[in-house]
Amino acid sequence: MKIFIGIMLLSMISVTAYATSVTVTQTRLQSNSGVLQNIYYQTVSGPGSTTPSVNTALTPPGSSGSYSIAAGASGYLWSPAFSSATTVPASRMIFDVWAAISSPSIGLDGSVSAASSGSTITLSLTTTKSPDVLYLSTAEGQGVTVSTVTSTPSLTWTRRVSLPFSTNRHAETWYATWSSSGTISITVTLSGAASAAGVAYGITGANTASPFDTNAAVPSTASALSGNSASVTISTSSANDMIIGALGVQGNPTLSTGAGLTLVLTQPAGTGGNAIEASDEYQIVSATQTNLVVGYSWSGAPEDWGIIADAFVAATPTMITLRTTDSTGTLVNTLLAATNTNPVPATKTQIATVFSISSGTIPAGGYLEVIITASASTSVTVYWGVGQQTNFQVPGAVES
Amino acid sequence: MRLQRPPLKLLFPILAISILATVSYAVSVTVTNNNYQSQNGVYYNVGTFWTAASNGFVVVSTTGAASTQPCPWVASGTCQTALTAGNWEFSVTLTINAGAATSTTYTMTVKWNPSGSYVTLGTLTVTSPASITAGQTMTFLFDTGLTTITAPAGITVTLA
Repeated sequence: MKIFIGIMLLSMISVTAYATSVTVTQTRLQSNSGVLQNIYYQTVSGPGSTTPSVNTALTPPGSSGSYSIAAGASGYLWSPAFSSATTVPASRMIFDVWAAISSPSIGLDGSVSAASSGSTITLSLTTTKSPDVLYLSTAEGQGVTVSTVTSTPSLTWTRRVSLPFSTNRHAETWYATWSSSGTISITVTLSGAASAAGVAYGITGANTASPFDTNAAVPSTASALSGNSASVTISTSSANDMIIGALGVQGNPTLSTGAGLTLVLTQPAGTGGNAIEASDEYQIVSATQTNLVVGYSWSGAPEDWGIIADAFVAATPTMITLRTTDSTGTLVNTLLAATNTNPVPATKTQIATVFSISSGTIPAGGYLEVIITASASTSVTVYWGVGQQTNFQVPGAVES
Repeated sequence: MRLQRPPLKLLFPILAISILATVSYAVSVTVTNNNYQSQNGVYYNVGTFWTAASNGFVVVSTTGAASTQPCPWVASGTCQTALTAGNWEFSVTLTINAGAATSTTYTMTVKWNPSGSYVTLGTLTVTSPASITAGQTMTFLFDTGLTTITAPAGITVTLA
């Protein structure tokens, strides 16, 4: 018996002392009550109401329609009422909307050029859209610079860049915002009489409150003594920019724009040793840029040059807000307040955007509310129903 | 009463069983609970070295062929089932974290319950890169085969 017990003890000790590892994995779903992917379809027309007015459903509608949200105004989407109190977890909201805006995205809106051998340049610019950012580039020789820019109607003109190049030559850019459209007379007053050229144009769809890309590399400049090409690189922080290239060049060469860039206008001025030329080109991009090359080239004699690259940002996008309310529509929690940075084109397009949202509660009888606020410059048309199923997706309990 | 010593022919089997037991048991037993994490109404089981996030359902705008399987890991790339314009697709963004296994093929399986019980929506495979750069993402698209979806939908995403 002693031997038997000894063998058993030895075996047990051995089991403990010598063994390979065994991993037991237990996989299980956590309780999933109340946490599901809910899709709330828009089901009726109209920008909706600031008080509960249910116009979404968990079932896609069999009909369709559209409605417009005026510039600066808001539209409202209300979920059905929740029968019991629930919590929306901190997670993600998908806003999937078929929409169009009333005017195209950022782009050119009229252009003009003029030359002078005196101390002023006068340009008459006609635009068709509003609001616009007006942009002016000049090239002047003989040691002259731009003193002031004025206009009728009167606008506040701000110098953006003054770039000396060559010997006693300057390239400059100025801008102003204009809340109207039509014809505007722009007067460029020089510090003295000289050969000078100017190009002015309107930019529609730009953010008139803060027109320029905030990247530290905007604007960027380059210059050289002699050459048959001019180039500068620019990097941007916003996705939907209008990139500008403004050239001042000695002589009156025939220019070719850089790859991907479209000419606005070229304006020569002066002759002989006083000859100078201003030219502008642009490119609309849909993604942030890193060291995008902005340039020109020309044949014939090498010339001194200076070039300015700049970038305009698109108008403030549509604002999206997600809130929870009580049964009367009174705010309980704001889960999201963000701008929809995806571009909204002029033709009906599906725009799906994923937003991170914070958590919130919905009391019994309460609602989910999505608010769409159009930018100050454009109205938004929202489409819904068959083939254009505008919806928002939020996790949470299923409402009754 | 005096107990009898077991005969030798009985001791040998006991000894043999003890030796076998020594080989088959473990010095450490690890019990791991893989709880699914929920976000956006979707449960994920993708392990420590990956992070998944739902981009929800969107309607396919352009018909596209299925990606050749397994998809190589391409930062900001896409791996998809065959997509038919007009169908709803489910989109998942997978982020690779530090420590993920290199050059290893994983299968992503998405299940959902459009009719009550969970069924497989689709599977896609991806091979992790030879060198891990934490934070890189890829997007995986699964065609639901449906032109209308009635919510709510429960979804699980598994990477194994």
